[in-house]
Amino acid sequence: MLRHLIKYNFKTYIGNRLNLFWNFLFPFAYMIIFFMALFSLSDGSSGLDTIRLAVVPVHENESAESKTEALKSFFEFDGHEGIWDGEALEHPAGTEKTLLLYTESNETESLKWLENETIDAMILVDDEISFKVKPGSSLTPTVLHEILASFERVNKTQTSITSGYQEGRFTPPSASDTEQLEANRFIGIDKSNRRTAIYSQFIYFFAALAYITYFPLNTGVEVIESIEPAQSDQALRKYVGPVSKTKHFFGALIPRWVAHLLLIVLLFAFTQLLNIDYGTDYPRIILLLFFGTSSAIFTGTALGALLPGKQGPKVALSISIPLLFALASGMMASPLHSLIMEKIPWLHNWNPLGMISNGLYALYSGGNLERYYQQLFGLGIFNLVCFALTMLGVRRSRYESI
Amino acid sequence: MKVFKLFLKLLYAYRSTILPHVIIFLGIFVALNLGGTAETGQVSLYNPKIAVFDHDDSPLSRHLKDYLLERNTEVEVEEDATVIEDAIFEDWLNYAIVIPEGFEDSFGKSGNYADLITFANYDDGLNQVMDTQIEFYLSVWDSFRIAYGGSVPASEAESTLKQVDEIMRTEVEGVELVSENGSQSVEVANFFSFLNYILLAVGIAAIGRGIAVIDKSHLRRRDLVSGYPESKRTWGLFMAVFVVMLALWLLLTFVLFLLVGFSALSEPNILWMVVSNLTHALAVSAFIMLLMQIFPSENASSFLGTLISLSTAFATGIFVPREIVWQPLQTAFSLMATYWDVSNQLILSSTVSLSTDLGGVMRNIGIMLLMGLLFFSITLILRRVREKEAA
Amino acid sequence: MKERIIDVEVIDLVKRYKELVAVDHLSLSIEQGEIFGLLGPNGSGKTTLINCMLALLSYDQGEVKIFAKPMTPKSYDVKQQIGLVPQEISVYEELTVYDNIDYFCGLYVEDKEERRQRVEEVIDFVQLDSFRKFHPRKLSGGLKRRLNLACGIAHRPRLIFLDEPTVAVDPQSRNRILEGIKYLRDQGSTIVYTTHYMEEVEYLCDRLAILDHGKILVSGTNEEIISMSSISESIEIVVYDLPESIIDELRNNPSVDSLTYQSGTLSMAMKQGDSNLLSVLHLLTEEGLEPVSVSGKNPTLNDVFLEITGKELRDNA
Repeated sequence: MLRHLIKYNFKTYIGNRLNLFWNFLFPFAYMIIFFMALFSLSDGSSGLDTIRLAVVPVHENESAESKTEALKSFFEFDGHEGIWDGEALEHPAGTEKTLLLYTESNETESLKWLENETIDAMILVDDEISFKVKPGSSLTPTVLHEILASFERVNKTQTSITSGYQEGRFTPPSASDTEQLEANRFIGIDKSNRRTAIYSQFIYFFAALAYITYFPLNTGVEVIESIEPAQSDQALRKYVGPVSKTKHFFGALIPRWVAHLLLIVLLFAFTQLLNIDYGTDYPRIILLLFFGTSSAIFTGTALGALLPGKQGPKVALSISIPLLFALASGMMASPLHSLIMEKIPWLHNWNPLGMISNGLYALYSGGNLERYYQQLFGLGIFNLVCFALTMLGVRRSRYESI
Repeated sequence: MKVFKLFLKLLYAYRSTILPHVIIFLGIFVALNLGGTAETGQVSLYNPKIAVFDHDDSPLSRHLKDYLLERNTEVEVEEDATVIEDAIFEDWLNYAIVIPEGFEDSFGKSGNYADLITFANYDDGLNQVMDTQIEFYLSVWDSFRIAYGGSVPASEAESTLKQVDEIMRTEVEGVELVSENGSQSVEVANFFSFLNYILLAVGIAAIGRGIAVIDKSHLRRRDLVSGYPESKRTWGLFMAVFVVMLALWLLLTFVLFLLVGFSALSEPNILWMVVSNLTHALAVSAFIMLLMQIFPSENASSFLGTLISLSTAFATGIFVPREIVWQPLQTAFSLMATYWDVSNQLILSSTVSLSTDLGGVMRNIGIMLLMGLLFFSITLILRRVREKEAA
Repeated sequence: MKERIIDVEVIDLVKRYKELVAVDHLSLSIEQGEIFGLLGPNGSGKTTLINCMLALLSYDQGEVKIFAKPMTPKSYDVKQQIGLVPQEISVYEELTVYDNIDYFCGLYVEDKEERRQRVEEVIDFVQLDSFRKFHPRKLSGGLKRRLNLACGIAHRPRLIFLDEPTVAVDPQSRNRILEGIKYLRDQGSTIVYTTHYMEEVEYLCDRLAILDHGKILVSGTNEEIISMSSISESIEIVVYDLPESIIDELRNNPSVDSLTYQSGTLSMAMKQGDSNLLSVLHLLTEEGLEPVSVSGKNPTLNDVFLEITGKELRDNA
């Protein structure tokens, strides 16, 4: 009997044109547009943009000129003198993109460039250095502030050491000592000891895959619609037959469930085709997606079984709930993820879409699998609770008329 | 009036579609505006959230730690690589540094690089800031070490470090160009950008659904048979769509100014933001009418509402900064009025001289108006064609 | 004498919706092999009664027995022998005609070969052979109704509930359906039939019950119910310019139950008695009035229904 039910439920599900659009076409279309929007993040080509600068000597004298030259030399550590092509400041041909791109100019012209956003900042070279930026982003001025302050600090250090020599506090080293000292001169932090965390903006990719995984809520609602006499005429007819409601439930659930498990594998394969990097632990990723898509279906069945009456509000809820969960997971604004974690921890902990997203992150970040299994366990509990609520609702008789 | 009233009743029935979107909207808005804003004219510097683990506990490491904590915000986090990396990913920590035991002793004796373990985000600019702070602190110290001939005498260590601290306190002044806009313009611009997403999503899913129901052929025929002319029907429907959209826009805009203060309306650039966003609401209404003319089904409204609103929000820079959105996709979505309003919100939130930027803003408003008119005209033509076909 | 076998027995059934008593101490029994008509205006408790019979609805008091066994939601052995043809077309738009019948039949008949045979039979029976690969959305209203019927009877149930199966059906399909129902009865099925078409009840039903306010007002065969009526016959006389005085005189006549005069047509329901028509004609000719036409007919179920419930059946459909 179950085979008979599964066969026809599958045919019904596949034969429904709306399902094809909503459950099959939508996730692919969404993933394509999402990827097209953010693929610069996935290939690592984003990061801090080049800061375009105009260096402006405030006075025309020798001291200002030498300080300007010194500053330009200082910028050479991570920058290039740019080429002004009449409209924009460009990197010189054959050079790689650097953090700084600068040119010398006068105050009036620089101000005009700044207002037109042709440059990001103008640096006023006087006895003390200062800079002007447009209102807006705080990251560019922060980086620039640190670089310019460092320049001033280097100068101060040199002055201080020179006076130390003059005061006899320091003695000039011998040639052999100099060689030894230079060999150990501090250059920087050992970046080979740098542990780079996963780029925070990647949360968009985890949340987006989690969203389409948790998307088929409506399928669960439809499972219940197909077996509850109060919700559909076909269900009423079935209920008069000699097959238990539980058997009908599984007959309706299994084909849809399997279809969505297959679909999520296809969708994941599609993300790999788009070159979105979710790591290479495919079996665990797929297991997580299976749990995730099951949680969507069981949320739908619980909704369908517990909320009496019309389909309209349930359909609206089955669209809104994944959107709300996606919002809490950072898909629409990444800071919301940490904000929810801090302010509404229960939502962070029990948001199924968040659990999928966190599980994907846990796998991607590598290390021990404890965090991954925690999310999987959480999803398992969520599924069980939804399943139990579904069974509770299904076994209640609420139908009032035929 | 008949169609108008019916439309409002239908929308009341679809309140379960509208409400979650309003919650999403307010959630995003509150979340994004919890951070404070700098005073006008002062450059607003990012204050990285850091953790320092000092296992050396030497004078150098203590001074370095104090210097870093003085300039940045300290975050309590367990010294565990996974926990630290998670915290950085989750954005409540930006940078962590572990100073190992024996750091000071080995400094300047074992090559050019300091033996430090650092945790940072993927090239997000903040690591540049932190690296610069650490490297320059140690560079200055190193300069003194070299001047002392390879190592700073123990008796001089404390005074030298104080000198290093003093040098490192050297600052440069940064100012923002004095702008005509106040501190709230970024907040208002963010709000209006997100409002665009909500209007699209709710508009297509709820208003579009209403249009699909009213335009169902049997209801239409019944109206026509009862002597209610098609032209009256069409105008009633159009008016209802515009009125509902405007009402929704007004309500949410009222909430915005309730939160940021109505005094913001005295700023000219914010007034232009309002004008631009209102034009967008009108253009979107026309877009929805056209869309429902092409796909006149209730199911299409939920499908398209979700797909179009999410896609537009990503492609036009509502959900993510526009700079990181792939340029060809931005070009493709410039066919949506939303693209032009988000552009205006961006221009107006960072404008220095309104008179300089106003040309661009007005051009974008013009484009939205033209789009609205175009969508509206095509809708009318399509309705006429359908009417004739039906006759 | 042939033994009477009761297929459906409802004993003292009470169903309340809060204050409203939808079924009020109702008892009825339906015999094997009969077509039992259930009539009643909207809100009379007809649907609730069927829901209770089919264990779709719990009830507050009483008992429902089908095939002499208590009917519960888990009475699968009983359900195995029941068929339902709901008023709404309850088929899947996504499945073909054949698949729809096969699916519903498959809930009762597991053996594939046997099922295939029954599906073929019923397709032939409802004359949908040329449409077997069609999806329901491509069928006309009448064909959809036939499909709806086929899905409910393909498994050859012993007891069939037909809830207004001929609503909005073209005459050809309607006749086909009615013939089919008679055929099913002849094959031994018991049928519970609800409809608003009185002529269908008169044509089909062996026995019927008229319900109102959750109670059975009358039940029996057509003839038994008609004979319960106080009306002996209905008279219609076309006569122009009938004076008010004559109308009043006729109205005061003890044989006249009710009277209307509209557009030259005098309609009267006469109480039991002899020579009603003659006495009326006598009065008219005495007054020098010449009837254009005269007709008389025996009371119908519709007259009885109207008399008992005070409501027109179709007005409430």
